[in-house]
Amino acid sequence: MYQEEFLPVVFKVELRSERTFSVKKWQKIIDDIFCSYVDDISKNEECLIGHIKALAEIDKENFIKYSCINDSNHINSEVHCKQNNINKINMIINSLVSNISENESCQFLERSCLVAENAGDQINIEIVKNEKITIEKTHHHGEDEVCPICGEHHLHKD
Amino acid sequence: MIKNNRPEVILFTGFLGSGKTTMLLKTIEMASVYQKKCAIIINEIGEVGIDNRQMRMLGYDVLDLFGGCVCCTMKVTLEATINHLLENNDNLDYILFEPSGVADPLALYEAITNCGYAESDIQNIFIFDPTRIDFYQKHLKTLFWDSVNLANYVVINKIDEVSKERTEEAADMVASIKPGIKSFKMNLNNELTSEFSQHLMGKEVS
Repeated sequence: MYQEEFLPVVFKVELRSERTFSVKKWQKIIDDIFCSYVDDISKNEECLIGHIKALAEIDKENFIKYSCINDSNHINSEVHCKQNNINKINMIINSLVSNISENESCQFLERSCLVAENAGDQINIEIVKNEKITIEKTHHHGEDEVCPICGEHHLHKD
Repeated sequence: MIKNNRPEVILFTGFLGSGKTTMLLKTIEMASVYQKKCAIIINEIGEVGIDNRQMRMLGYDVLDLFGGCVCCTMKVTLEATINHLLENNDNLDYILFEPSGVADPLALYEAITNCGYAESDIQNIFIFDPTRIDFYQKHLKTLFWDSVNLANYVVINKIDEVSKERTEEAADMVASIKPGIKSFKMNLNNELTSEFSQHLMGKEVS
């Protein structure tokens, strides 16, 4: 219905540091990245934010989830984590915004990440763009069987 | 009535960011308490899903509908997924389906009815975000109209983020389209109300 208007742009972002930081500190670092990214998007009144959401994966069970549906004053994050100090986070961002190209969105995110890298915490951030992201398809069938759902051969993740 | 002990289909509709995934998670938790077996289907547009990854990290098994929006390119896949579930699971109580927030809810019904369900078998909950009333009025009139018309009931979410007047305005918007439809005013980050739980899972939770 609105799928032509809110085209999804997906980014994989890898954040690393030589030092370990608390999950709360990482939450703040990523929150700042989102604030800057959303601020850049919001400068263009033609751009309507449908939903920008992200999953910052700490390990197989622990994560921080981010969600934003309007401006940088309303970025919600929810920590689901038992760990304290970590030095690496892998994050997937799904950005559904109207009237913005993938390139433009990527430039905004790169700029926001650069600001975070230069903030003095000595972190490195790498953005893996859409075309390089491996899609993990998970259905319920044997490894060598054709998937009854999508009709393709793909690995059963779990 | 659902024939041949088919699992009930519960559909969580609503625009992007309205709280569908939170609603889905709460429903799963509630179903788990009452030892009900659920299948979870999630459709997100975008090559990599956030909600399905989150669900897996929380320990749930999810059937993904990849690569497109379920109301257009993925309609056949939804049908195949439901049929696959029906053929391979005798003891399912519910099929919980969260479509993409940009999907046309009307278009989902065809795929579900092709699996042997009547439209009246589908329990459709529309989740409405009152923080975005203006956005709905300006940009999402068709989606809102269709969603409310198809819904069995409506959850007005995020009531902690808006004034009472705004919540009432949201309820009035719903009632103006479908007078008499039941609206539940909630913050889905909290526990589901017992009244809502009874509506969702009937006598099981009463």
